[in-house]
Amino acid sequence: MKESMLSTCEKSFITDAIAEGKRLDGREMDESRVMRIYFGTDWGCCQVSLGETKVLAQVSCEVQKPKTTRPNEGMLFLNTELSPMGSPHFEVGLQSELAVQLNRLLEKCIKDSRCVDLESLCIVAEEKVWVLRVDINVLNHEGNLVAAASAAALTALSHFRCPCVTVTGQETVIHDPSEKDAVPLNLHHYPVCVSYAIFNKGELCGLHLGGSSLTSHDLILQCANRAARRAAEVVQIMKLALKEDADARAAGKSVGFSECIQETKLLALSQKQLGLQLDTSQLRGETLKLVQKKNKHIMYDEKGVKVDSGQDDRDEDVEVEPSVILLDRGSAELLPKQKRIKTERTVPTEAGVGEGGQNQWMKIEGDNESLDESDEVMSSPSDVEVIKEVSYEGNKLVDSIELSGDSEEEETVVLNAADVNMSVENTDDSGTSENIRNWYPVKQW
Amino acid sequence: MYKMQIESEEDCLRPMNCQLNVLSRSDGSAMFTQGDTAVVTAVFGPAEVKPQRILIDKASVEALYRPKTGLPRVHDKMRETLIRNTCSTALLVTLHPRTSISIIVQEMQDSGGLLACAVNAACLALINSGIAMKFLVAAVSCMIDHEDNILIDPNSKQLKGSKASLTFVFDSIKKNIMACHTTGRFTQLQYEESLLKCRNGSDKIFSFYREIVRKVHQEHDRMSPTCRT
Repeated sequence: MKESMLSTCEKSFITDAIAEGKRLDGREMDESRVMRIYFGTDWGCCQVSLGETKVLAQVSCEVQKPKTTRPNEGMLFLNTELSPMGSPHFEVGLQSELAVQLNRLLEKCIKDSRCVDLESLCIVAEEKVWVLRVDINVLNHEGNLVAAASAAALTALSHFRCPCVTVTGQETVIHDPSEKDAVPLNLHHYPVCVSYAIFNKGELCGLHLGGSSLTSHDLILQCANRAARRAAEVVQIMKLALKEDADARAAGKSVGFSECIQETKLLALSQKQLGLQLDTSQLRGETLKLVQKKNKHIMYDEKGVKVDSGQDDRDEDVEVEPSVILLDRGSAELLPKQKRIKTERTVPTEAGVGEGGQNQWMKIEGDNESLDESDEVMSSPSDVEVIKEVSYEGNKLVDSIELSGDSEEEETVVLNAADVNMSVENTDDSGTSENIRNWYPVKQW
Repeated sequence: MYKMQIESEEDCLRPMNCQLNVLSRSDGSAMFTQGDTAVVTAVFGPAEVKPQRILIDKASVEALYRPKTGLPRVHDKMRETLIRNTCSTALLVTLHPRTSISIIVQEMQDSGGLLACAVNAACLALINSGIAMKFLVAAVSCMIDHEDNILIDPNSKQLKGSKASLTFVFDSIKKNIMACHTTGRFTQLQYEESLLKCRNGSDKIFSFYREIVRKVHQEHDRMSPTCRT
């Protein structure tokens, strides 16, 4: 989205008001908005709000090799991000002019002024130094980003603690903050950016030689004095906030951004300790049931060898669902479920109707057509036995795969038609010895 | 001020705080904390859309997740995808064709359960922005530790001793799973158990949403009984 432009009459309204010494929000000419500083639970994390402008800063550190030109010093990197959250016209990644300007200003302010004692960041000369990284994120842009961002960066640096390091001979040990207290950074002085806008005959410019305006050197001196006073104020606010945070941490009170949510405000809400009223005793039972139900379902769908688990279903008319038969490692084939049922039913038994004495397995291939089998043929225990045997091996494997749930890939094996045929010479059935493989897809995982 | 005291049982969610409308430039915003994990979210939309993202029949939803330090990495992109998919399902996108709705999430503090916190904050920001939604979404995280205990809404200290962590996102009407993100190994039984526990926990989050909306509207009615803004 593009930045919304101010209309001419709006501009002239503002400049006329300033000419009269009035500001749109009622402030005095050199009055600043209220600055609030909040700290997070991590060291080096702070949020500064200057009126509505909000900026978040975080300092982090890492051990790296130092620059060859300066082997005794640590390094400091500043990164300013204009998050799209700050304003609708901020883009991701696109380095707009404002972003570049802001970045450069902050670098000048903090890096070039050498406010952080970089030599104290050295661990082992020429080998290991602390590299500090300050990330500044603009949350809301309502003007004067420079001041807010510089205050945030400075506060974050003052708040940050580097982990304690002990060097013993060749080894360098970095202590966890819970073991040994972390060490704060050394700051020589506190540089604060204060920005003034100079109006001159309706033209706007910033203090740091940006833009264009004709000003006298008196004005600049005046500004500089005022800025010095303002900077001192800001540093006061900052030190006060740091002290409060330190006290809170020492007293063990809770710190962090949840404190900056002002509960008394209209749009705020907080809830503590939300206990779940879940009857855990029944939980296990419920989940077990669920799991079993799902397993049953799954077994029928994909690995329908589970004839044994679905013993109650055996006599139903089942829809054609593929079932996997595992033969040996590395191969399996899918057979439609119906087929399997049919197989059972056509297997002759002493009690059932059908040819007796023949090899049961011949019936498999032949009998796939006969759908008019009487349903009264009850599968006798012997049926169960036979079928169970064939797929027993498969059962075990699939069983273990099913319930353990750990393996991500099940091994499925491809059945060759030859294997299924077993010891088939000829069949007496009218059904042609169809190639079973035409019936189902052969899946190779 | 609204506080709810419940006797702490074994399972409990961390205390939640939220403040709506914290940012002045965005259409909707929320700062949301769960325990020590804090996230601030902003929503812009329905707004002008770039030509390459334009969709003629619905709004184009995009989500951005910004970590606190460094540049966005792969798992940040994964969070973005999850948030975007969840929100585009929850929003009535067909009401605003040829527009864009952007949801921007900024991490402020990470103390475990960041993905769940981000999704919940995004939902609150969407509530604040007033864009029409089909239902609300709530995310609950849980973990399985080495003794096979299931802990709801763990903090970062507890997460260090975990062997699996799961985050579920539910919708408010039927409590169906909208999204699920897991890391680590677990059995099917453990998954089902965690799912049931998290589903139970999501009730608390939905009632939290209801409370804050009720609070806002009560005050509105109290302050301006005749005119509705």
